[in-house]
Amino acid sequence: MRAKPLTILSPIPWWWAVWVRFTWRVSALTSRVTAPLRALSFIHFARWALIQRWPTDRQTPRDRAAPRSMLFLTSFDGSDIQYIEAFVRVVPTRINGLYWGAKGFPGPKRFGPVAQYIEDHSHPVDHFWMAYPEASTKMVAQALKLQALYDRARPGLAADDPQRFAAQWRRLLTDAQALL
Amino acid sequence: MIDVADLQGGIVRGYGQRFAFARHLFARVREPRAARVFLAALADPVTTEQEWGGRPDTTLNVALSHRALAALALPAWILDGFPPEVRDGMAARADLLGDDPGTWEDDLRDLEVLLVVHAQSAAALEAEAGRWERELRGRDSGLELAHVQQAGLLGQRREHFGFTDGFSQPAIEGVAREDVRGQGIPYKRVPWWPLSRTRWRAIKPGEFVLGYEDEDRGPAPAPPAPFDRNASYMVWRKLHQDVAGFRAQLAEQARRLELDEELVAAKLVGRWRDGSPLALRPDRPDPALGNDKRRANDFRYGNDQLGLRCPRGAHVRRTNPRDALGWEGRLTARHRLLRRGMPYGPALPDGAADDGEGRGLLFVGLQASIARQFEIVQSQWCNDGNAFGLGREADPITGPAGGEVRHIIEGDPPHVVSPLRSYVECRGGEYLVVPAISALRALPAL
Amino acid sequence: MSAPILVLAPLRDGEADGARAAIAALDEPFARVPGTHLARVQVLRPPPRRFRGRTRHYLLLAADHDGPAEPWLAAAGRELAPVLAHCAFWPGADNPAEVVRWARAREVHAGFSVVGSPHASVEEVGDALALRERIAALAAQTTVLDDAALQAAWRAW
Repeated sequence: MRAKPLTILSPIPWWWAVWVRFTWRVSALTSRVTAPLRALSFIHFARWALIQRWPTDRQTPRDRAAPRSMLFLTSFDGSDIQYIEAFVRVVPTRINGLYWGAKGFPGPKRFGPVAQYIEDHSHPVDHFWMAYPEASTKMVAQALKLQALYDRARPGLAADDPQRFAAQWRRLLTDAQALL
Repeated sequence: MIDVADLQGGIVRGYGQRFAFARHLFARVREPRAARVFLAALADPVTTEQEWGGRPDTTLNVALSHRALAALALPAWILDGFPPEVRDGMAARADLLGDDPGTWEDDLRDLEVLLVVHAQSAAALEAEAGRWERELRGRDSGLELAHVQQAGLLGQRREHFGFTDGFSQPAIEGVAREDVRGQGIPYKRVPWWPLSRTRWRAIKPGEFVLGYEDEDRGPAPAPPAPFDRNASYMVWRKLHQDVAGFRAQLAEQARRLELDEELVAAKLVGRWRDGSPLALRPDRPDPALGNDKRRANDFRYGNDQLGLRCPRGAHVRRTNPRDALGWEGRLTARHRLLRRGMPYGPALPDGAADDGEGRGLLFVGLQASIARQFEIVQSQWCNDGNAFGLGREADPITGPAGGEVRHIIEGDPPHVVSPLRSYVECRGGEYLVVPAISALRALPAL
Repeated sequence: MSAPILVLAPLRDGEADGARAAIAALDEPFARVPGTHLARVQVLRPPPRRFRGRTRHYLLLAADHDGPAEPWLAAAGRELAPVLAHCAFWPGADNPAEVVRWARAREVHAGFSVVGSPHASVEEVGDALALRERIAALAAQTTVLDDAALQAAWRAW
């Protein structure tokens, strides 16, 4: 299985929850906030959710010992080291925007303290499943783009004449080589 | 400033081509107390990083595996302070590294103490290494000689497959004497300004030597004193090279693809045999460039994202991606290694059939974190191609031995070299710590 | 892909170990829940606030899937019943509507998401990955086969 799951639970104060909710509403209006995170093409997904009340079901008595928290779920390709490194070295501002007010967050600019924070706040995933376990996010994206290229090339590939077919095939390979 | 009197020599600066002969002596701990005294006494003859008055005939270095430290009966609070990969040892990381310890040479398992002698002549090597072999065989050392591995340069800085080697060593801040272009970290003076020129700066010494500032504004996490400063972690691997097999495969693939054999070879490695990089010379070799260490490393891949000059999966592009992964190289800057290895075994003449002789590369890599540096390069970039958009395809030179890979030579049209077998096989090795001189002296008292 | 599902349900007191054991005993239940891209199940316990005593254990179920949520939840509820049985107020898997109601009441909404892959169904992703392998394999034959043989090889797909 290529992908690795990670679950992080970060206690946050009420005012940080207010701020984060506001910024999430703003970021939904533009792709500029998430673009650099998406460009880190080893992330299958990354999701953040606020848990203001434990449990969320209001019919169940409140768990008064459980703090207001930000839940982070992700799955990614590659090593933990590379994942954390990408956040620290490529998108520290975005990470600060999510975690600056979280209790104990050491700031986004140094790998060591961030790695320690993640270790301290991670919860082991007991069962993780993927429909395509040997495929990375990049491979999936490449495959889908290749499918689209192939679909466009198919009418030409259906040529009866072998020479015309071969020319179309080589054209397809040239256009698609970055996706193989 | 690095404490040059306390740091072993050969780490931040290699000994150079003049020291063309080497012998690696592995020993096991037989009697811990005596062994500690013996190793402590090595603090005097071991070569340091201090400037030489005149070049010596030989140099001496010592390294210890975690198994050795345990056999020396060091206290648990010191042993437990080493990072997990060093405590595990290299054989335990086989899945990650794509190794098969079941095929390793018996003498190259569970390695403990390593003494390395480099020499300027065969005679000097025999005298000095011979002396240490006798000491290790003697009763007083507390050690017993377990394995001897000879090594030697082949001439013209070539390795056994015929490629010029030893390029692109990291330029270290405070140590780099030559131009850092291509060997350091690229940066823009004004990061947000697209027209700002890219410059290069040297790499912080803490990426390779414990106890100094690293690129994370460290120092990096380190074991307890006295192993916390002026030390480095060594990856030692004996990499057997099937030269006849590699040559035959190269000829076969060149014939199959109807391409020039030298071009196919360069497209697998990323440099022509003379060392000139495809990134700068995509069409033909340039011996003058290959001989010019400054210019031969002054390139990046950012303007060759498709790999039309240097294939995305080429060996040198995988082992040092520079800016190939985007973001001006920020995702690769902390995964550099200092390489201090040397070929072993006699050269196989051109056209000769396999003669059964052992030959290959003694790979020696030095860094402050094996997990972050060597293991990422090996597992994520050499044994896998996803970072470069190549899915599962491994390095065509050092990918998992015996496995088949597919290598794309990008172009119009592209050529797919397949099936391609790796003719490099790890025959044994270990993770070791190269301790400071003061750490050696402190051993008897720990 | 549709919106993610994220369910956070308290476990009954003293049943955290039982839930973990049930998770460990799972084979590949999500392989039998159509349209599942990725999914995870775990027991977690939030660290307690100071001087407030101990927190409860919770079960987290999270998934990315195709299609509407209700059929997915009903199917997942059936396949994960041995695990979900340890959750407080679990209604049992026999009534899909009850399962959906139970899950919805415990749902947490992701306020911020970054998704790496383009939107495509599990089937589309599988087909595209298989096509990629076929194209790469035939690409390796392109120089060796003549035009007619190349065409025949492609037609044989």
